[in-house]
Amino acid sequence: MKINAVELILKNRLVVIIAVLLLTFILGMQISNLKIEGDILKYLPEDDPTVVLFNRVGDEFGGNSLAFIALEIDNIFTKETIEHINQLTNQFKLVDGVTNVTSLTDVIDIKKTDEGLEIGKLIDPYKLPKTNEELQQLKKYTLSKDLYKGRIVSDDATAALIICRIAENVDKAETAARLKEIVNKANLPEKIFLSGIPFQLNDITEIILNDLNSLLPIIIIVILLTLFLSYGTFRGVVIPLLSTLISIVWTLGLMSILGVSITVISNIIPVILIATGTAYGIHIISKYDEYLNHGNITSKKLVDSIKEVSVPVLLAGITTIVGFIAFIFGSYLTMIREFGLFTAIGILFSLINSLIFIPAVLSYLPQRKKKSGYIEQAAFIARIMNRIGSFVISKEWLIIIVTSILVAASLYWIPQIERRVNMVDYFKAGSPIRSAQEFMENKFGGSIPIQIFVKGDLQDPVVLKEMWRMEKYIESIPDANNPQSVASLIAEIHDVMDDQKTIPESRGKVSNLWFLLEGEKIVEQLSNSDHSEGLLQATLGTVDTKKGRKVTDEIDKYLSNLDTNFAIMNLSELKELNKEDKEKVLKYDALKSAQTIKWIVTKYQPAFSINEKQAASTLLEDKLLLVSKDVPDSSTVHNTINSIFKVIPVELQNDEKFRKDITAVVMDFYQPVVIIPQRLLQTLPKTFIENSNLEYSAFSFSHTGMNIIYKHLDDSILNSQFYSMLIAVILVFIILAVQFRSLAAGLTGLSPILLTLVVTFGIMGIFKIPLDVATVLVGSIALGIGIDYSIHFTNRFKNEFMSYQNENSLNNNKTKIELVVLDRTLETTGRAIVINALTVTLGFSTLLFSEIVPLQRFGILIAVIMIGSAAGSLIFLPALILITKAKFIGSLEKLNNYTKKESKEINDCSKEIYFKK
Amino acid sequence: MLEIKNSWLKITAIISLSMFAVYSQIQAQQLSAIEILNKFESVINAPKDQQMNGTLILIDSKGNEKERTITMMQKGDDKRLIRFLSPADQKGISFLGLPDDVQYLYLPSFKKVRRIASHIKNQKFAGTDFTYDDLGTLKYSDDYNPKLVETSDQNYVLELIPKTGKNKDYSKLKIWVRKDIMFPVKTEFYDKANRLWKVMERKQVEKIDSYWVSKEIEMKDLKEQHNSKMLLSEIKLDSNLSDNLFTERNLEKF
Repeated sequence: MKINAVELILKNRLVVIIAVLLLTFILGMQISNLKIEGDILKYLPEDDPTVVLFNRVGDEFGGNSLAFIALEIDNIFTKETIEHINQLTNQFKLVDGVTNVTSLTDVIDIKKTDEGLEIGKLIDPYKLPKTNEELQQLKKYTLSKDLYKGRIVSDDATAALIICRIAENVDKAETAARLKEIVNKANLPEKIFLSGIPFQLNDITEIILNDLNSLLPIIIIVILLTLFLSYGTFRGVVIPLLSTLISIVWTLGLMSILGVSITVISNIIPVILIATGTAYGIHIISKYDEYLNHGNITSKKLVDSIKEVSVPVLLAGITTIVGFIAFIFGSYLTMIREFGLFTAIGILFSLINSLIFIPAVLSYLPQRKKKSGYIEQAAFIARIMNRIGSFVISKEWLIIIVTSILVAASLYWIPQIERRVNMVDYFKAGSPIRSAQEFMENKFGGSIPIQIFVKGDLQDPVVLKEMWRMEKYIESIPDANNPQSVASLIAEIHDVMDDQKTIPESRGKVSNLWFLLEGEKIVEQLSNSDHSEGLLQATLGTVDTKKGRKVTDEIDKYLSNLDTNFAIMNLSELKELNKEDKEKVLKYDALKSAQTIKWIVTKYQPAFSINEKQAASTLLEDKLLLVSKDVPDSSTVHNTINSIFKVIPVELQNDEKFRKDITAVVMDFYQPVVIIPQRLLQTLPKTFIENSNLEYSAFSFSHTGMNIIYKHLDDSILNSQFYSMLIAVILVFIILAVQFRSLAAGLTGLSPILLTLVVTFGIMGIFKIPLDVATVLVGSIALGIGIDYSIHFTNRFKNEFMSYQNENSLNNNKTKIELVVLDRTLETTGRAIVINALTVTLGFSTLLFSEIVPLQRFGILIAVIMIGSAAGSLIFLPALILITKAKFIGSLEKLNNYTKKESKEINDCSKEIYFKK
Repeated sequence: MLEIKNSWLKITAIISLSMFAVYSQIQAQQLSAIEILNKFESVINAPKDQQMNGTLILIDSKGNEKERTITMMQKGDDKRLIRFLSPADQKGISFLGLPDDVQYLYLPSFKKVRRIASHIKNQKFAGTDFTYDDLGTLKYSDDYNPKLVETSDQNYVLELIPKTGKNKDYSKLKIWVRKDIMFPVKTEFYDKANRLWKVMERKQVEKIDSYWVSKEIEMKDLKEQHNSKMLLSEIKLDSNLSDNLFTERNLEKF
């Protein structure tokens, strides 16, 4: 900072103070308008393709956000509980923003009755079942149907679910709050669990607010105590803190004006600013006090003191800012970029206030000589510093080797780091959201939506058959549950209409069945109005990122192998083909059906896998006999099923539902049409293709849903971590290299913090501290803050070395130079580093009081890193400098290596030096 | 004797009717709510049988339009046959409604008739915003208690509250009845939270063969932002439709 700038500030000190306070007042007024954003979707950029597709699907099918309200009691099929479900269902329907409610008392039912076929509601809400007989019958029926079992009634009939679909364009947290209110008011005897993203959002908003309110006072107290213990002056503590608080107000006010919301991450901006920003003010006041202790301060002296300290303070500030700026360029996640930007701005504000506001205030204060603080003068610290000095000098190599081993071990553990991106992970174990999530996973197969967006004619049997098959596939994947699409509804109606639980082979039949579904609410969630786009949805039964990722990858793999261009012909047309081609076509068909049978078996018996090829050849043999006929008689189907059952586990053979599912596949296989992919068609003779009556069908399936958003978040978090750290390392390296005019200095200076980070990541691997939305920030932030220790240490060490050389240019006792230099550095800067590390560590430790789990982890990690990088700077760094005889310090090569005897000598000598002081 | 009786009856009827006409003329301003309700129901349900073609236009919240055409026959107030003429893939789908809520459905691609269960009255008809109930004959007086809430130069406005024990999706209806012809031109349906949910309007009210008929009926669902219109054409009234038309056998003939 130029001297005239400092003079200018002091000349206009009143203007400065008034301006700062006025600005604080104006910006402070804005803070109440700050919005809180907990929506995980908002973390990804709006134009991200996965977000675009997800939102589009949500918009088209009545909203992506599902709020789940589960009721638990020993038996839900009682008059009272059914009444309660009905009561809640009716009340939820009236809440603005709720587009649809599904529950036992409002759900489609497709069934055959004595009266005829019935497409209506499972329970007539105006005629709720009352007698035991009615209730027993309802229970039996409900548990026999896939449409309900495991979806809105748990398998054991102890839990029922009410699902509210929430519109895209409404405040989901707000809507969830209304639902919660209804539940609370109802005060039902059943145990209630609230789950799903809307409720999570509502709770997150609440805990973010709680955190904002409760963390700030805690950290202020902690920092005040630490600083007071360290420096012993009241104003030396209060003024820097005040300046930082002003900077916090500016930052939050600015965010509010710019319409940037507080997220789970930016929630900690105040904590970071206090933990790091107060240091700048402290440096300035310390320097001022130092001058003060040397006699009365004139305005000239005040200017000088500020001038002297402004360079290192600026440097420290800039490196910290760089750590945060790195997020803007290195992270894909909006939330993290915003956090990086505004924390950087906040630190800039702290810097500015330290350099203009604090001097202006100081100039008004009465001059008082400063007493030293407890830690500043504590003898044990001096002793520790002294020990460190002699230890470093005598055990240089040991230090390097031990560090290397530590780093190597950490490198081994780094790949074991887990990652967690699910919103549920924000909440503490045992919190209502977590227990509700577990409950949902146990009773209803989870609540995270998996979606497959289908583009194609939903009245085309080919498209529906592929959807139907994919549902069977999804059911076979562990942790993926409850698939549903119009295909299964059409199959269900087909069963009621014509005793076949399959997709009919002709378009005409499909259209007729579609007619029966017209106007059903469930259809609006699964198909658009002209049936050209549809949704296949399922739920992810786990919040574990790794397991969820596996499901997502499985589905992706399935989709990438999926044929989407088909030709359809009548079975009778196969007669025109030679035996070989005919077999080729039918073999394709048989293998496909065999695969479906395999999935169904896996669904019922996950441990068992049938021999697909054997099943396929059975199917093929039977069908070859049939090519001449059009429709198989029932005995053919029966015979085929019996031969198929030979490869099926005995336990399943008597399962009626299982038999029905397998029968459906065999019936589908025997439909008098052949559907083959284009790639297969092209291998058939040209004359056949030209002369046959072929129809074509094309469609596309794309994977969307919350699971893919989570996967995308997971990828982005990994990339964010990597790129933002890379950028921070490069920028800090440049700053160091320029300051010391040496590339080696850049590397040496970076080493303590880099190695600390490696060890920290190793610790994350060993102790299963996952990478999540918050711990992903650790790398760059730690780099920005921790590098300061290296800079201060190296700077001081270099200065001490040079001044010692000047003082003792005639003295030949070179063996002792480095000890003295190191000792002097440790006594001054070393002590300051310890105090700062202590402050920052304690400051970040307050995050342990956060209600957001990732922030707790973040706090612990930063604390560990600060201790590590302080130790690294005080122990490892000097060892490295001495061993490499770093040129950027001076001509260290003049120094010799020590023998054991010399080391002892040095040790004694250092004691001597210490006691002389 | 019989003839005399009949003519006596006729005379009595004529006298009472003309008396009623005079009385209504005089009392026009002071009709009670229940009288208005009964009156407009008798106006709407007057024809003995009806035969017409309809065009259904469905407009969803995004403005997508769908069109279907149907032909409809009705005898009395409990026999009804509806056939879909278009779109092509729904051509031939037919409904038969018989007394006591017996309903049959014919799906031409399956060539099969199936009976459909009765408790679907509150459900939407073929994706429209009309429920089977809405399409049926108007018999509000069975289920609702009316109250006259407003009388303007053109209209009576009735408020209908469901009678206790009657299960309705609506908490209240509000009906505008044209004074001059006692024809209900607009109905508002309110949900259980007493918020306006659906609005039905009868437009193009014309006199056909001495009956008042609306040729355009529009139903708006404000909650789902759907809109359904039914345009009626080729309306034939009192053409003595045979009972044989309303049989399962006839349902399959298409």
